[in-house]
Amino acid sequence: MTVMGHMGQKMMMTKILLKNGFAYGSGVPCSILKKEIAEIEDTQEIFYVPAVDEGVALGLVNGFMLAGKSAFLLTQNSAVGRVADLVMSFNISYDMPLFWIISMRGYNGDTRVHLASYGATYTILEYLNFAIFDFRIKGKEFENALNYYIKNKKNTVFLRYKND
Amino acid sequence: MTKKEVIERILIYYKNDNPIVITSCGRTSREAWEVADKLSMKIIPLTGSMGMAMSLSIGFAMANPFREVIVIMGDGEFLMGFNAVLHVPSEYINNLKHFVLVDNEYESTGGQTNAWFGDIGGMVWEVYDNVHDDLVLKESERYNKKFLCLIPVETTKQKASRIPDSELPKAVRRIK
Repeated sequence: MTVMGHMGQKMMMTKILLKNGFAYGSGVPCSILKKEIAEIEDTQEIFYVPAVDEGVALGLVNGFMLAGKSAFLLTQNSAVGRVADLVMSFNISYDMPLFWIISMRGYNGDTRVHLASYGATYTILEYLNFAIFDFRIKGKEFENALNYYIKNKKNTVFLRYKND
Repeated sequence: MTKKEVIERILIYYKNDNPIVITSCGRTSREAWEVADKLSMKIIPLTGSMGMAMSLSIGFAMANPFREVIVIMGDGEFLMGFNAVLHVPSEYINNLKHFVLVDNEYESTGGQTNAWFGDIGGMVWEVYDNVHDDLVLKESERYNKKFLCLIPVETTKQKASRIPDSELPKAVRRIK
């Protein structure tokens, strides 16, 4: 199972995570990321917790990081508004930057219910001063986002689109 | 007992175990900070992130199984982060103790009533009458993998009128 790059190359998300020492993660399900999630869950080297909701997933990831582990959060973009306060009051206030993999619903013919969330995602992430690696627009790849996060210790998000 | 008294009792009891202590936002963290300072203990006080203490501590306990994790939180915090309780049965948690200070209000914002529902399920907790003799704290040693204890504390109104402890609600329970 692979992540398809903008130029067609294949990247193994789990391999990149492991190569960079990201052995802990939590998140909620998403159809766009179903292959990646399946792969991560099947990878014994990654301790991945399917959380009961986005806020709990973020709390678990923050707990992993507080214990000194490199960890990632994995959600749909609908989570952005839902956990914005937790990001502000913990990750920003306590200088515990987050690496966040987000699937972008509401794009390219997605169902109507996701359109508002899609429209607000960028605004909220920019307001929270996230470094945004947009697969579709900037052509950035997953590894670039992860390397940026490691190097700069800054809240970083990797946006994954349907059919990328 | 007041929040500060309960927090002091807990911290003194576990001090020699050198645990990681996480406290939830609001009055709990403020009181805990004072007590920890007096006892020369280090704690991780959350000053915001309402509702995240439970999931944060679970994540910490999963990722660091060799360190005792003590979490002291208010009942408002507990309610807001209640979903995370569903992760407590995880086989990867072996070192986590939660203490919930129950006063049925949000003290730090002026004592507004919270949604505390009293008897939580009545299925996985057992009742204790008080913590004055460290009964509950001693009980926690029997459940060294994971433990949740609800401790009634003085409310804002009680603090004003000093109602005797004997009139506080019985709500001290544990997760097996």
